[in-house]
Amino acid sequence: MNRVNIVGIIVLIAIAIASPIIAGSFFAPPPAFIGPEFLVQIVAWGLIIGCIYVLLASGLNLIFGVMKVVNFSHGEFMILGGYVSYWVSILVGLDPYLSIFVSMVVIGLVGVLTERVCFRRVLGTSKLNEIILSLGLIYVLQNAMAISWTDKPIQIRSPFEFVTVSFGVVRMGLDWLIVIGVTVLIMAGFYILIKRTEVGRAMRATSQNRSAAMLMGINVERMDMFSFGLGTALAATAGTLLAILAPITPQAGAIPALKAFTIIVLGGLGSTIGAVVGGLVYGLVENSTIVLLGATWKDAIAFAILILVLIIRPTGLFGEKEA
Amino acid sequence: MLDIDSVGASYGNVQILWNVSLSVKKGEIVTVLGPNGAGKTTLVKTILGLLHASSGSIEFLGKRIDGLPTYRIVDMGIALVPEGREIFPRMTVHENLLLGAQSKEAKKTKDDSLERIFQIFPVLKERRKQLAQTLSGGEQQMLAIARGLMSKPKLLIMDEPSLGLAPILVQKIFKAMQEINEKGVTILLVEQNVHRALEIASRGYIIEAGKMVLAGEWDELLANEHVKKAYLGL
Amino acid sequence: MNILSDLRKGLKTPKIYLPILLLLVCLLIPLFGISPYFIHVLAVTFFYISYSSSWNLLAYSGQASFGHAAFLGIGGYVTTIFTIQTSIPWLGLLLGALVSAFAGILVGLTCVRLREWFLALVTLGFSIIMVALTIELHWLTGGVYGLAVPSLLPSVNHYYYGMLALTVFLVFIIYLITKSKIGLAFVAIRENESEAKATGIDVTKYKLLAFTMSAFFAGLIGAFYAHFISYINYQIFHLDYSFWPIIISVIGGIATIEGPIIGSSLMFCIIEFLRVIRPLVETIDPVIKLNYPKIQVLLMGIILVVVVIKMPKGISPWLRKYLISISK
Repeated sequence: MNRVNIVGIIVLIAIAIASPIIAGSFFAPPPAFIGPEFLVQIVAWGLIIGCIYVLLASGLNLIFGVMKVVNFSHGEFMILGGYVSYWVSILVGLDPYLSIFVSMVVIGLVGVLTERVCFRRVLGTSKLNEIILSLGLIYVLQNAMAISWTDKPIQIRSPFEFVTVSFGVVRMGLDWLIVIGVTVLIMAGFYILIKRTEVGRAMRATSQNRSAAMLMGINVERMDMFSFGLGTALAATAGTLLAILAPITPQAGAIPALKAFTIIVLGGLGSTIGAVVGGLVYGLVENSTIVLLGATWKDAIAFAILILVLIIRPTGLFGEKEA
Repeated sequence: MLDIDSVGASYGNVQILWNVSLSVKKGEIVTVLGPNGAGKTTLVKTILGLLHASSGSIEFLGKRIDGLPTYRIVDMGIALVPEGREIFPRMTVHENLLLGAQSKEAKKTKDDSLERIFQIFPVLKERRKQLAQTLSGGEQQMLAIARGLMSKPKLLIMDEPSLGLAPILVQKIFKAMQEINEKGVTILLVEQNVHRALEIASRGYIIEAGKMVLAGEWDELLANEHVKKAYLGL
Repeated sequence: MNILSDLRKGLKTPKIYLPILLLLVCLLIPLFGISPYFIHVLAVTFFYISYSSSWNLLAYSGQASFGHAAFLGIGGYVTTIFTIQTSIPWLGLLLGALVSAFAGILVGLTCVRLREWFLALVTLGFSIIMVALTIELHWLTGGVYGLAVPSLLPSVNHYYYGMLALTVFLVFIIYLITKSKIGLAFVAIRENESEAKATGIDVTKYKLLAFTMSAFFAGLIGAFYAHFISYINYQIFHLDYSFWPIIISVIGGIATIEGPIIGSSLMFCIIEFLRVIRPLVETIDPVIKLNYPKIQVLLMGIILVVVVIKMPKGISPWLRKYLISISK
């Protein structure tokens, strides 16, 4: 066992060190001159993308914490949220940023329904069943969306699309700032709900010790429902913001959800703060990777880090011991 | 108050309890005694609906409770202080206590209950803002009992409250139990510590290998030859 | 010679005749002048049977890979590059399988200690890293444009028989493995890992062995598949290629020999059914632009969700019961 670990570590560290060096020094175009404003730009965009990951990872984390279920189809709820906001802003003419709240409610209800109809029935049967169920949901949701709205990319037109703000040498779209503001607002609301309200307390209790929570008289199945609804509502927010920043397609959610899961593995499964910090840090890492190694590595970097960490610590960076 | 009539229970295909009957009257302290693995914890889990009885019936205040979900049973006025304490480690003592009060009634009187609980366990008042995982074993046990009391239970079930505690703390916990009983809470005490349990209980049951083997008043049990040999080491 | 006596016993029961009958039908199909399209679809179905079987072998040991496309793609790329560079036919298949098995060992070394969802993420991550590597190493792999794969066989019918032979061979080998001592160890690990360890089974060794064998088979199939579709690019590592064997195996019956066969056949039936009713659907509702491949995938997704909820062991046990009841 031990020898196996060591060999595994050495081989994969070697691969991990070698691959970016190979990629960076031989195949990527020579790095452009990196001036200070360029760096600030990288950091700014990294943080904004980080915001999306924060929302996505926090929702996933809540669901994992309470139900101990990994919802691999979380990204599809995000994209669905983006589509709902898109149609609300087009059909009703609501401001895209206000349509977030409509989308949150709609997707939250879809989430509650999914929990009741699908996840509740396989909960506790086996981890594999739960994972495969969410895999099935990926296909159902993706293709249902593609059939309804085609594969054509859509983007939500923000009223501030062409407004930019300058900070010294750095120019940013006003939308970028609003996205950060909205994320802070939503996350603050989420934090208060979890830490200060009775429902939040009951959800935390369920996540820390499910059977003790039952003994307190908490209806834990209702907590499952709430956490799933709340988690998917957060994903809907992420989806709307993403659709404002960049075009989305029905297939665009799968990879971000997997990355969000690597974020909560790295940030500590079940840790609220870990998901926030992890999301922001990962946004930065991903964006720097794109600049330094090229867009090819955008998706690979998250998993490269994850594999390295899991080789060294099979339970994750701050992983808790099995209860 | 609590009437268990020939209940059987099993984990998967393994039957743990056979034909267990037991009753608790209002105001009593009743104890269930037995060695490790006799099915005491299984019995407690079955009463609270964490495990469903495969046969027999359980009545509380004249109503059938077997088959009800746990939160409904707790709502009716049964609280369990589980074996191994099972506190919420990453929450403050105060939050742990508040979680005990889930029913509407309990919520209404929660400030009142808090005050009374702090009278019984003053140390919890001092440590109100600490995370529960930072408490010592004895303090955690007190917290678990206090948390159980927050629901204003009519029946408090305690599963091995003395497990892993120093004798001086055990004494403290048992004294607190008597105090709680005097305030009108019926207690069902599940214990391995036969001597201590029979000191405060009025009646007792002895469960072995999933079956009730003996029942009687405390003095009868203390005088019983089997109890003397198997449990008191006399 | 347990297996031989098993086989001899098997020949006396009607159970063995069903696979033989199926095989005969498959052998005779191209002789009836059926359209090349249909032959192609059948060959693809065989591909899914053998590929899902290789995934299922890993699942047999209780490990679910979510990035099996990595092994498929490695096999495909290795044989392509080797055949292009050296012009030696056929040898590339074995080479692809070997390189893939080696990759299987590497991934396995990381994975044997991990719990279900971490295992899922790591295997999946490996396939995504492979995408990046393939694009970066464009002097070798052709980058995003990919490579044209030299052909090994002259016609679709030849490939049909090749795929059939490979599938029968693999399914039989995997059947033998599951019936052997190794298979018993796999089952013990799948049922209860700590108990298996307690009875003296070297869990790490067997889990690693499962990874290696599964990757070897996936690499072999990937190599032949690359020649069959005559073109390869980074899309071979796409999530879909990783997820299909899971969907097929789980619907058919996870960790059973017949599971991938049932699952793939069901998928084949759905594709063909949708194709047949297409004109009908279009006369009823010509306005709706039905996206056919999407509906097929949607249906498989719905079936998967229903199967996981209603019969988590898949269709196979249910079908067995049914077959037994009609044979009586």
